[in-house]
Amino acid sequence: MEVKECNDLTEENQFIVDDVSKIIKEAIENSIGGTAYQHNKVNQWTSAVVESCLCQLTKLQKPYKYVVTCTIMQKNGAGLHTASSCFWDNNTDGSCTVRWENKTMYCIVSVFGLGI
Amino acid sequence: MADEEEVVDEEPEVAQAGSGDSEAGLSPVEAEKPLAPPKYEVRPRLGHKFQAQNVKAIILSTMKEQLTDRQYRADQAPRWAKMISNTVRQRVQDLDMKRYKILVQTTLLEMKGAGFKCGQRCIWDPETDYYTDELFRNDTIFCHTVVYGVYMY
Repeated sequence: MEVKECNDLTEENQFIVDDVSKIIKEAIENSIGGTAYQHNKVNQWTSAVVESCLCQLTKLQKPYKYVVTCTIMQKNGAGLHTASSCFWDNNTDGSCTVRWENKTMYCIVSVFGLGI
Repeated sequence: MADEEEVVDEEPEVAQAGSGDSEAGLSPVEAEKPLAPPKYEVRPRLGHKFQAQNVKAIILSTMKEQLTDRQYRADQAPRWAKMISNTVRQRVQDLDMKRYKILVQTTLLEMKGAGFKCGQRCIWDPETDYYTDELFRNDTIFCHTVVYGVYMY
């Protein structure tokens, strides 16, 4: 009888926060870097950021399900707080949140990766 | 005489061939037994699916409990957001939906007239994975909570 090695802790099965963080930052820069807040364009921007993140994440070719959320808010002096709570497997699953801002808006992107 | 010897030689070969056939005959008989049906489930059964309506009710009641009659305060808001997230997650876990991983995300905003847009995309299995979300508003606070349920194969 063969004894198979446990694959759960190899690189391929771990959520690597640094790689994902880089992907998110690039996606934001490419979609909204250098633009000012415009109410009629916000729909397009959130879609663009999220689609581009997902596209790059699937190129990593890992056995993962992804959930990506993007929040864009105009800078108005108002406060914004985000919290998340998760019930998962710490060995294989992870999340990464990136906060980005320019002169007129804030952008918060969260990526959750869940191992299959 | 020579013929007899040849005949004698052939018989043991025939006997061996016969026994070979009988050994080969054992395995086809075993393979004919029906295989047991696969027991590992890759889809949730009826009754074990994600309870979206119950989760929606939990989210709304938690937000109402925590935030009714409260005004936005910058020092308290992070604590409220974390408390709502943890409470919703604990209550959804108490629903005991087997093999579901739960993600809860809460966003608390101060209502000051700022424009706000939230979007999401997921790469998952639409037959097994779901999400529900709810909004809560009062004069100074705007709260949005979303719960994702992701099936584990």
